[in-house]
Amino acid sequence: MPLFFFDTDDGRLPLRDEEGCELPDLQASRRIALEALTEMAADPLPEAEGRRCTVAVRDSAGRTIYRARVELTGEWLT
Amino acid sequence: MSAAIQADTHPFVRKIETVALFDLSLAEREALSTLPVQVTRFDAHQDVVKEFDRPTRCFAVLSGLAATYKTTPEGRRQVMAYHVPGDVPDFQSLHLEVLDFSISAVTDLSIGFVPHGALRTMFEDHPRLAGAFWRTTLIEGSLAREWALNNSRREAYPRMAHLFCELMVRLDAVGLVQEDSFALPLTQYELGDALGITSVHVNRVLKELRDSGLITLSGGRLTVHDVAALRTVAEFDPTYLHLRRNDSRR
Repeated sequence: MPLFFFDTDDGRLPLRDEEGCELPDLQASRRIALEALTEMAADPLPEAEGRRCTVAVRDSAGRTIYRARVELTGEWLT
Repeated sequence: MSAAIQADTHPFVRKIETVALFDLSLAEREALSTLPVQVTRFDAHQDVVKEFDRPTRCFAVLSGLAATYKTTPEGRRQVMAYHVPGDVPDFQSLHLEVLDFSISAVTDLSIGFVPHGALRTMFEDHPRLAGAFWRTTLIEGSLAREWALNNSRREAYPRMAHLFCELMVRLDAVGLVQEDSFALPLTQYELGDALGITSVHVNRVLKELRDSGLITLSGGRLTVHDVAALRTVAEFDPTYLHLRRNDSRR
């Protein structure tokens, strides 16, 4: 199975994946990237009213093949 | 002594001594240590029993780590519990005929199978032992409740800390922790299956625990640098493990 690397950043902690993860195909890597993104966005709950999280997937040749981003914005209305 | 295993280190004797709220009599100790045990080895990742099996025997973990797990139809796995040496993880098969979970070897695993018939005979002769084994299954239920709370209501950072605290206490009870360090050959993928998060998130949380100076996980070994701080992060209270030394009033 091909190896994929997931580089992540939630604005507090950028982390380059050095180990990688064996997955059946590209779609599996997309699924994990999106799932990880939702986890990072809410966990831990952000202290500030904004958080931008990104995930970039690299293949074993080092090419970035997929990227996703979520932006969380909270605001008081009173 | 009929078994190759010494009575004082026999897995059943050791297990019951850590959970029973009474001291074993000589006769009870003899009954436990002469149970017929068929020692079998499994490679890491091999299944010992599978969901929908109808076992005719129970097993005790002799060495290594095992995991109870279930999977969704599309193959997503959730680990429900880890089993350390001395545990009898499918004891319920004595009373529930069809298994509703699978148990696999996490590491190379040595287990001892004991026929249901031999256990039933022993319980007829020694009712206090039946009570003690009942207690082990109730404790499993307690662990499952704590896992449900941990995996659904704690953020990943305290959640992972809690898992490490639990494993440390349970492994320490069977003498497998040395200087706050123990074998934990789990991949990030496997930790994700236990904690209900992606291996990507596991990687981040592990780094944060490491950067906080709480733990190091490397070379298949977990070292806890500050046990008290890890417990505080995890909100860890060992009451739910019902170890004899905590539960006993004597």
